[in-house]
Amino acid sequence: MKQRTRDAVAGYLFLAPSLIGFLVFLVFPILFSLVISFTDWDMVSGFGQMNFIGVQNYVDMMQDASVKKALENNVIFAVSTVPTTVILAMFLAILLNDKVYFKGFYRMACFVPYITSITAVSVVWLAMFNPSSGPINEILRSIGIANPPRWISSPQTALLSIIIVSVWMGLGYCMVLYLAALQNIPASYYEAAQIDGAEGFQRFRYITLPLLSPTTFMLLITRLITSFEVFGLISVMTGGGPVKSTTVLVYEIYTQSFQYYRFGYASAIAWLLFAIIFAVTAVQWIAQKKWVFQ
Amino acid sequence: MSKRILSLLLTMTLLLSIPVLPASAQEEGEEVEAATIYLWTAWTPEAGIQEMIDRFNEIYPQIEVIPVQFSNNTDGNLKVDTTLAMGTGIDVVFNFGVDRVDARANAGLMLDLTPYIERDQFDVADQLGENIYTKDGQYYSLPATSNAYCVFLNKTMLEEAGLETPTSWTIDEYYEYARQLTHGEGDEKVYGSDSLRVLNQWLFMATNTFARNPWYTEDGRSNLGHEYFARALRLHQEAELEGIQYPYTEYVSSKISTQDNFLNGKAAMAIYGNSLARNLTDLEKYPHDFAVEVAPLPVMQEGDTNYNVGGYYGYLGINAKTQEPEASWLLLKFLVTEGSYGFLNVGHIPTWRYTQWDNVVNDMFGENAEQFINVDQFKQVILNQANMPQQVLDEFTAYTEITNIIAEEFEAYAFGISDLETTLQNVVNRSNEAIDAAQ
Repeated sequence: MKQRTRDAVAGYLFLAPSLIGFLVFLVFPILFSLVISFTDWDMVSGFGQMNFIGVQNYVDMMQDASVKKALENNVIFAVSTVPTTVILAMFLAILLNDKVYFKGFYRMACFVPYITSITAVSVVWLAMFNPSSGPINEILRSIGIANPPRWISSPQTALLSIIIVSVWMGLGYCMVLYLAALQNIPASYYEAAQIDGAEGFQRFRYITLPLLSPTTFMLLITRLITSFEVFGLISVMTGGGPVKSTTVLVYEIYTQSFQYYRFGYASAIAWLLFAIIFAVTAVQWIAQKKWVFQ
Repeated sequence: MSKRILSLLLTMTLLLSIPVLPASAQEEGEEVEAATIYLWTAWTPEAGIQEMIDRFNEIYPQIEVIPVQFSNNTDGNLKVDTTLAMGTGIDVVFNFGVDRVDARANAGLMLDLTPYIERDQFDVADQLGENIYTKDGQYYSLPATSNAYCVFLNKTMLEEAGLETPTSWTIDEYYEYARQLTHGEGDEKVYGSDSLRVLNQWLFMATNTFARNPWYTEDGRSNLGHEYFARALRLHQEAELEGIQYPYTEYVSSKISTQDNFLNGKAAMAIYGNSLARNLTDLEKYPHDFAVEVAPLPVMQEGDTNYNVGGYYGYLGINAKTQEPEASWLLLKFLVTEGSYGFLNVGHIPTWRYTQWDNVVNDMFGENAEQFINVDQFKQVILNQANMPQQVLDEFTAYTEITNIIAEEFEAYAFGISDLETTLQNVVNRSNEAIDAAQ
């Protein structure tokens, strides 16, 4: 065997465990879900009962009121959480980057929500959001608001409640990334700007913001993708309700496959989700040339 | 080098194959072969399952039974379904509700028990009762336990309001009681009524007056336009708006179950199932100092029959792909007859018609039963449920879909998004669509 071939074989052998895992647990299931999205498979009847039904699942999906509502909720959720989290995180990072007392403690306090179990977070916030006896409404009533929002108990404010919790959880992660990026900005830039007569806000606008833009770009993409995949919070806090006001695409996929056993239909919804995220990411990628500092 | 490896491999193969070779010859007569089978229930061995297995082993010591626990919710039942589809690691399984049996039997996951029933001359009607679930005339499971739904009343609060526990009543009388029992404000508020909010069981005050398949008409269409459902819904909503029943809108945030509300003294009456009775003696988890009265479910109008909406509930079935059908059948047969007494520990009522009912009160509540519950009423309303007129359920087209449609539309109504007429129209239309789609 030639040396080059031997090297190549050795290389593939090293890759094999990871590659096989990738193929078996990622590539194959993805392709399989594409295949079953054109069938009416219900899983429990076994592989023999898969009937090919063409694009029927996709057609049904377009007319399904629940899927439309889920898509609507996803868009509202994404548009609300992503910019809010990113902007707030940026300001928090700038605040905690300067000489502030107990910096380490505040940074940790901001980051802890991100690493806490979603179930634990959901249960505690559920108690906080209780419209009659929860602390949030108690405080609101004590400062004079007679009819505070009913949070999870109302179809009008349930999604808002989820958004609040989601922003609170995501802040820490974004802030930590911004802190790292801020520390990479050489102090000499600021000094030079100061000498040139730039004010505080101008320094922020012309130095900080552009130099943070690669991080911002990365966060916008990743947080957007994550926001479309929100599930744990909704599953524990609201179960998609009340009256479908918090259902999202992933939750619909879950109910269609694991409650109704319509795996083919759920796969079609999953591919819709993929198409949406792909499109949004592609748009962002193309737009990066315009505003991201290269 | 290769010869050594070959001989080593051969030796290993020989050594490994020894346990796999068939054991002793087939045993005949009443001797039963040793076997290991898996019993899937929703309870831990400590909760009472091990006790039942031990009693089974007194008769059949050679059959090893391994208990497996699953949660009786969507995820747990999905686990059961996938394991049944794969076919190994599951033999006897506890199905919660006849609709689950129907779904599993239709998917080919349940073993046909009829040959075993006939071979052993097991008289189903005599041992268990009439109208047990069959599919195309074949038995795919047998009920080990039944449910009874009723109204539990807080005796202390009843006495304070000067009321007596009725032996039969109408829905209007029920809400009148709720009105009189509601007291307190703010954190101290005690609601007169708390209804069962899950699985549309709050509808029991309408469904209990139908002899058969309350959700379907005679020709298999949706029956939910019936005026009884409209009335039950309207009264339910009015009670919550009036503040005499714990509101569903509150439950959505607090997630407090009806049982917890009742046992914590936050509700004077609770519509619930027999499993509540089991928790009365658990004073650590549910501390309370009042005795409990039991009344039957109210009916819609004076003169209506109160059909038992509980009925057969815990259906035991066998995995269609089981490797040990004989051992599984023996365990199933035991658990639906003498073994079923053990299910009292987990709050279910045995279906077996030869159950020793006299021992039940003592076993469940100990010597001082009256301290916990009114024994006569308990016997009459809960233990005696097999002697009530039984509601027959044999139509399951799109059952799960209809359950969810009712739950969704009810939620819209409870939150004031749609009015009563629209809600009912939606339920009927969507149910009929689901029924059509399923056929």
